[in-house]
Amino acid sequence: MTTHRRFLNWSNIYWLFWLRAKLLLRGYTRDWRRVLGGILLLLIAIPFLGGLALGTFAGYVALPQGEATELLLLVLVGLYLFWSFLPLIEFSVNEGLDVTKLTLYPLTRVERMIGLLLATILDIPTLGILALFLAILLGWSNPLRTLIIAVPALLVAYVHIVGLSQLVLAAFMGLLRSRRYRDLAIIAFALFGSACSISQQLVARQIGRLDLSQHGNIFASIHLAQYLQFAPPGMAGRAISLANEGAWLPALGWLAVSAVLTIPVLWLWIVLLERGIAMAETGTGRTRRQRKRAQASPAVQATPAASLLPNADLAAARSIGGLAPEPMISTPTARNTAITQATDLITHAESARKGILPLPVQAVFIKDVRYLWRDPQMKASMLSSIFILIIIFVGPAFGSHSGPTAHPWAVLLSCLAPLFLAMNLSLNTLGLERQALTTLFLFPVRPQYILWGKNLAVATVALSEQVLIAAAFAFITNGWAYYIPAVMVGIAAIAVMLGCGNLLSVLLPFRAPQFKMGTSTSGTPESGCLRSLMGMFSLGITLVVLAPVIAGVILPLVFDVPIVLWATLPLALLYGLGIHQGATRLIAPRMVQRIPEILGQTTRE
Amino acid sequence: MTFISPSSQPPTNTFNGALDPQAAIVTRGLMRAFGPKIAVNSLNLTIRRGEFFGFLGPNGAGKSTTIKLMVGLLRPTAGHVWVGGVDVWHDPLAARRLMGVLPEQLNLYERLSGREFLTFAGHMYGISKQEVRRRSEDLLSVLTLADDADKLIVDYSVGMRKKVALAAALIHRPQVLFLDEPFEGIDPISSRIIRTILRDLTGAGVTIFFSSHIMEVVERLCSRVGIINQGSLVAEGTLQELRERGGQNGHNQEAATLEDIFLQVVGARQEGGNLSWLE
Repeated sequence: MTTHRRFLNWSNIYWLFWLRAKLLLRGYTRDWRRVLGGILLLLIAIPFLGGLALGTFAGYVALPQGEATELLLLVLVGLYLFWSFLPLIEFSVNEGLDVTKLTLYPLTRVERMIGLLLATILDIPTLGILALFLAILLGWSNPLRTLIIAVPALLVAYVHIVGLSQLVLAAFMGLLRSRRYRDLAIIAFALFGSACSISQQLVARQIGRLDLSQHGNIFASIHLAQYLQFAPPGMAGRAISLANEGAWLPALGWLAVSAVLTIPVLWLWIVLLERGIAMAETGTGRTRRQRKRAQASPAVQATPAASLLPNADLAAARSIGGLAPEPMISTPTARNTAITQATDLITHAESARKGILPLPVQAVFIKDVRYLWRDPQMKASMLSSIFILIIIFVGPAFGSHSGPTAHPWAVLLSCLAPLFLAMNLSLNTLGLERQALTTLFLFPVRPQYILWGKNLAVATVALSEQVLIAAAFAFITNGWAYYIPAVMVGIAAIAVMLGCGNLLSVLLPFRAPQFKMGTSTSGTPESGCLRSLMGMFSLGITLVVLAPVIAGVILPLVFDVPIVLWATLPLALLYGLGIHQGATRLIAPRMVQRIPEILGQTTRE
Repeated sequence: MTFISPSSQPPTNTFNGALDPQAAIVTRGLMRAFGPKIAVNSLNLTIRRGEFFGFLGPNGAGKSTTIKLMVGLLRPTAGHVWVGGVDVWHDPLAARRLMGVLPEQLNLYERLSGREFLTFAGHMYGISKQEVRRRSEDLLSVLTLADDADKLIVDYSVGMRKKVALAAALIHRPQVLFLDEPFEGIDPISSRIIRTILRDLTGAGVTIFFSSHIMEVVERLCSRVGIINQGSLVAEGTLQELRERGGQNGHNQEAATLEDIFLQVVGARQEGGNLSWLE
């Protein structure tokens, strides 16, 4: 029996949307932390998005027609560009539905396309688009008949915004899936946030300097609408504006052109998407270099040659040093002797030290230093700490001639960057191991060795940063007199941070998500909010413990007796080292006892 | 049908697994509950030194949970585990010194290369640098990882990850080896090499506790087999003993394969379901 395949079966669309809604709801009903995180996210998002929506709404209502149109087109094209850029920094195959799983089912291209588009409505970032669209509808609803054009225009604009975003995603899927790009993107994403903060400071300052009495409003001096109207969502915006003026025919014309343009965008998107998925499955998406390397390497897969391998390898297997060379030990007594000897060998080797540090401490230290360099999230943490310093000191320096960088005391505050770094890497030091923590806990290593190795890695990087940044600040401000105190206070603060970090990492560990691009990440915005809250709590405790170190620096300066620093700083240093040693010795024995609980908190998916 | 009746299990409160010098792994009254669900129920096992013990069970029977309880990654709700005479929960570091573990989920350090990971593992067991280097190279060579030893683990295939994890579990020459589904995702060539290594290890007195779904491998390798179903140990013994007990229950003991015994023990329905609509 042959069945006629329909072009579009609405039942399939319904089930795709049902699937997306079900997955979204299931995420909340099965995990109370996600519900709590969701509430926190809403508490943050509502004021932010509400403010944006309210601001643009006020602009549409209060500004003259021409300037309101400028604002409308800026918003629509801004969303269009931002959404097309978004996949490049935070990539998942499809935020709404994992399209790779849908390829198994007999869905037509149109069904898949509509299903994916509808699924995006339930994505968290879409709230931003919807809030701004609501402001447009309300702002351009006078006269009410404008909505006849505004509603379909916004639908078309939505398809353009999401469609282009998905098109970019599909077009670059091969590149976005490569590990090197993903690593780079994670770093870029972290830096993007910091850069946004600096830009926001600069823009706010420039706007603050504008004399509105002379300039009227800033939109009066912007004349971008003549260009923006040719971007597809800009056409929809122009249609709304013209409908508002009563020019119905031109409005319909702009809307029609915009609507027609959705067809090639969506068609291209779905074609590229299908190609991208097929490439991923067949492996043709590999880079030229990878292909070359695969050809050059001895082909173990080559069947005729490989068939000869086992015998040679089996012979080699029998000759592994210390693993299997012994003859069969037939009697239980002989077996016991062999096993005891093996244990003795290990015990003896463990007690042997190479240099000052025990071997496991060295091993953890080397592993962590490698990770700090190779793990993009950790590298991003390091770079972010420097950006934070720039935000604090360089940002204000643009606005005033007598910013805090101008005074030599700023050298002492240079320890903030390594302190942020130590905070990022130490307050959840076990959680940052992620799934590999299971492996780490399987080694027969004293818990303090693990903590020492990890602390040493963070301290090495943080102190290197401290030495360099303090030198840079001393050079800029000519405050070399404060250089040695700055390094000392840095050591003290980092020691306190690491000590508190050890304590909190064992008592309050939490899961640090692995940002895996190209898959549906488990690190949802909601869980991110909850993690931030826990991080803030940990930071609060640490700051309380850090108070004597801060007082040791601030008080002599406030009371203008910098000479006292030479007494308070060594004390701060002793205090810091004492806190570190005390906290680590206190918590290390508890760590072994709490292994199942720590793993439960940090490795649960 | 069960092969083990609850009354045949020894009492748990008076037993001390450290007292039996021949026992490599001992569990008594081992239990783990997740809320109302009991994942492992009063497990009593004694595995002798040098034994290759196969641990079988259907999906969700409690195999991986048992291994996690035995190696100290999951706290038991009740009961005790001794490895090499050491109470895993009383002296976890001493117990870990004796064991090598290949978990079901390979939680490796993906940003280290295969060689770096083995070096790290060796040093974590306190083995000297020269010895670690020698053993790492041997293991990489035998497990056909030498060509990819400097590639990051994140770029390894599933089979390569499994092999490097196995190498890390072997590097300190453990007395007891826990392997959770070691042959999944491994190609036949590597599988044969690993089987040979494991067989030689048991010959040298190493005890292997091994969970798998692949009956042929278990049948070929294991000297004793335990079958767990819904958290309870339902059968235990050598293959011959299991066949004999199966024969007592009216089955043809000569012809019975491990798969037959397994299906019989877990009470699996062997007849096809009613899927007439497929025709």
